[in-house]
Amino acid sequence: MSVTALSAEPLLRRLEAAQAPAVDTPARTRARDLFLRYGLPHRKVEAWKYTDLKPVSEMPFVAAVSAPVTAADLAPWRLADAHVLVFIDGGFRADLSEFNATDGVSLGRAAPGASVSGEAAADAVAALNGALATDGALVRVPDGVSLDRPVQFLFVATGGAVRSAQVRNRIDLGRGASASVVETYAGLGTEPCWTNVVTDAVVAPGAALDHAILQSQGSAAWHTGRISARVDTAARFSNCTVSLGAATARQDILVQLAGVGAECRLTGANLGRGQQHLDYFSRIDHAAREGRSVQDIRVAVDDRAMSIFQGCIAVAPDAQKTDAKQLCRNLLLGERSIAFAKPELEILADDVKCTHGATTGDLGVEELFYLRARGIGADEARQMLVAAFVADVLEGLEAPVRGHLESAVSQWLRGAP
Amino acid sequence: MLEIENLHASVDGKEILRGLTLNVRAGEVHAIMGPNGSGKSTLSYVLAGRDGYEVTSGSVRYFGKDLLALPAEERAREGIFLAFQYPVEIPGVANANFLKSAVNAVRRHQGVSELDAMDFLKLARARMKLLQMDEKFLSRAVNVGFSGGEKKRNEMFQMAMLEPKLALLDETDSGLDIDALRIVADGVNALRSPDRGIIMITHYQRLLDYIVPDFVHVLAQGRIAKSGGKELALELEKAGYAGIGEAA
Repeated sequence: MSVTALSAEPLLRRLEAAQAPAVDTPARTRARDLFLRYGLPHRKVEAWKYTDLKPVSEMPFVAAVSAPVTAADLAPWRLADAHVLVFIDGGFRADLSEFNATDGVSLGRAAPGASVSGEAAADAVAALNGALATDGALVRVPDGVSLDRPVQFLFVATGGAVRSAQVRNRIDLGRGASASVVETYAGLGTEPCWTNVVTDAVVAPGAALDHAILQSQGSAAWHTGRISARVDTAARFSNCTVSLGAATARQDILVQLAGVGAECRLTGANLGRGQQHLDYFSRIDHAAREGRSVQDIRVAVDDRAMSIFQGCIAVAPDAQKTDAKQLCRNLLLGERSIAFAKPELEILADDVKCTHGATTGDLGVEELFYLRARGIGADEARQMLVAAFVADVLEGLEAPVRGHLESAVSQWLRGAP
Repeated sequence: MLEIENLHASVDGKEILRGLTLNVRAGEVHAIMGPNGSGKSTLSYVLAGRDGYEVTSGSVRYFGKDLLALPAEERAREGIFLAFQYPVEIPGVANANFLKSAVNAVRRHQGVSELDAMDFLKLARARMKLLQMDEKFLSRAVNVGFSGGEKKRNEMFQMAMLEPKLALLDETDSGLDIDALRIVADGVNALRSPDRGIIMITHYQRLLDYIVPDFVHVLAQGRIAKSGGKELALELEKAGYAGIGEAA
């Protein structure tokens, strides 16, 4: 038993004491056992080698009533013309939410019975979520139905006390169904807090799920998120993750291309400054023939911020005719900023096309001079070039979601946290 | 408006300009000709304020002010425009956004109200028409995928939008076919006015058939080796640059 695992039980007890009791189910018990076996992953766990969660295990979590939140507080993050499900400090708030489901669609609060995803040490954070989560968002779209408007899961941490929010979301698309879902994580307070979220998505044959994450938590927040998507025959899954908030954020994107001809497109941006630590981890399992995956991640880090990209592409022996492309481009804006890019390919089939690339550089001096020679100030010129660098990964997103992410990016560029 | 006095400048420790003196008054068009490596482009970059070009001695006064003390963007806002020999491609930045930012940065500096999207478009369309440019260039990324001629025309379009007091055209004629050259020349000629100065840097005499200069200077080994009227360009066309460097 590792040192970290020893501290697993007190952490679990503290987190349990600081939240509403979860009803025991066999899955929950299993999740709890799993977490107690491994504890929070330490840096000897390969997938977590760059991110140390020790400070989380030392946070003095308390049960505290959330400060009142009004619709006006949420306005900056709310997606217009969308179904909006609002969660304050991890708890669903019907009074602040606004959605109407038709055509047999289920929208609203998920009652997580806790499923266990993964059995390894690297999955212990998700296991802890499975043991504790009592709330989350639900989207269920029946066969053949296209959701009329995007769905936003809006999670806001209020601050005022050190809290944890353990959230478990569920997205289910039936055969040939389609939906667009964006998860927004925002913070109102400056206290440390921990948001730990797991989203389980199932994309049935021929269905299409466009999924986006905007991580814009407060400057002292810790954020761990995981989305696991199972993508079936001829189905399509896309995820765009923009991570620009929190002190430390870790996002896991796990995609299983389970059916023949399944596709996924993973894009995103880590934008950090100050001493931010942003860790993006993905694993695409090509488990069936003729799968296609495209990944394009952009990183811009300033000051002493650190970004990590770990992207694993695994091609099973049967997954012939797989076509996988991976790219991670890093922009180091500060002399002391750091970006790690770690591609991993595990290819067990012989008739596949897999490419990967990573670049690291600074803003181009030629471009900067050209803009300045036209009267554009150095700061504005830099902002324009970073915005252009990031813009590529937002392309192809549906207009309202794209606008949502773009405005967060441009706020970040103007220096807002 | 521009007084260059005994200017010495180095790039990477190598002296390129070696005592260049030149005066440009409002309303004048000066052509600077010279062989490759004589310092023509260095002069344009030094005047525009590019990093890495170190002025070791001499002075440049622009409307009486010390030009060399200003950063590149301030020079542009004060009315200096460099038409690049090799316009830079900027993926992801739309021509319209870029130019609107530029126009408004200049207007802010001059204390004029900024253009809104509508007024900007109106002005841009009018100027593009003058240069026979397709409006689709507004929405395309700056210079990305533009042909050589399109890039040069885009430079002239930017110049027409920014209405500089002093325009530096660095080999604007290179890479242009005769039709494009005519259009570009028309654009420059339309900008000629009694309160505007123009410096044309060119290797060939050809451009001067279309934009007739008031003065022609020959640059050799980092200084003006010979000055004269427009007829000097014709002489050079016949005799070449040979001998001029040595004479200096």
